[in-house]
Amino acid sequence: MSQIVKLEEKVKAKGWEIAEELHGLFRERGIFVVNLIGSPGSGKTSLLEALAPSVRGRAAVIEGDLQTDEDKQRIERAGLRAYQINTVAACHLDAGMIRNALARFPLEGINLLFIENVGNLVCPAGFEIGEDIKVAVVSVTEGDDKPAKYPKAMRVSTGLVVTKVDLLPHLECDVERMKRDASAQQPNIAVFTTSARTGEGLVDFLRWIDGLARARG
Amino acid sequence: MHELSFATQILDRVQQEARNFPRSKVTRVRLSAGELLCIENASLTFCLEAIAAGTVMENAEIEIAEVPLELECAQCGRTPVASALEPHCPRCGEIGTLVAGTDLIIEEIEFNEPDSEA
Repeated sequence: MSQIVKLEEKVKAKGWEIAEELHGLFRERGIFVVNLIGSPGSGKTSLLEALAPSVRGRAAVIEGDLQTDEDKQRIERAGLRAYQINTVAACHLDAGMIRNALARFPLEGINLLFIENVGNLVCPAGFEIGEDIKVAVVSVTEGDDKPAKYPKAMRVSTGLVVTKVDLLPHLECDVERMKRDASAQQPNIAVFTTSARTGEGLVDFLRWIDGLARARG
Repeated sequence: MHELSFATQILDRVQQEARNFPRSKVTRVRLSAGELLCIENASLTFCLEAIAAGTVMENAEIEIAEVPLELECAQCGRTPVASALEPHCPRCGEIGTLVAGTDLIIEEIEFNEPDSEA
């Protein structure tokens, strides 16, 4: 006779309690946290550099990369405080890494924190790291099929930033298709078409983030 | 990829329960996975089998049921919804509460007869 234990018990992913703790801490301090996820080279760092002048003095950035602190240096040159996490081999940031980073990176005086995840449109979608929202970053040079091919990234994201639209004249990329495919996964996803080079779309994107931060309170 | 972080928590919980059945092995674990978590069943099964080697859960059958997202609305009752980030009822537009599809649940753990062949 086999014996069956009816458990009906929730299981949380390892690390969820750290993510909850971080989320509480950010809330307490009035910091709105945006977790940027996107492929290597999608333009996440350039987007932040372009936003930097508008949020100087009130925003900071945590950078995630396997190696180098080049992104941290770029952000600092753009005028924001930055901290670099090197994951060495890991394909995404986890909440434990963010907690460790905060021990060395004080957040006084800011109300906005961008966390640039490791370049990867798959794994970062599966992890909470204490953020308020995830924003997916997809460039037009990657091809208009990416939202359809990476549905989970769309599904967990509150916003989609399409980058490098200044290059559209040179490409066959249907931005409307990207919007359609993203909306199919996430009906209310806010889509921003941007260019870090020309500044297109940046004001709208930032205004949207600030609106969400105010709504959160 | 995040399946492994769920798998380790499941194994922990199963091992904890197994202490109540010291002469049995786990033969089956029945799970239900909420749509929101985007868990890949094959990947979760693979992770569980991999980390179960040498434990009381080794060779246990893993069953994973998929649970779609559902919103509970005061007017319309339970309704399937496409996204957890949209809190409004698709029928009447009122704000509702997600009541299904958001969690990974260990439904049942089955142990074999004490001291029988695992």
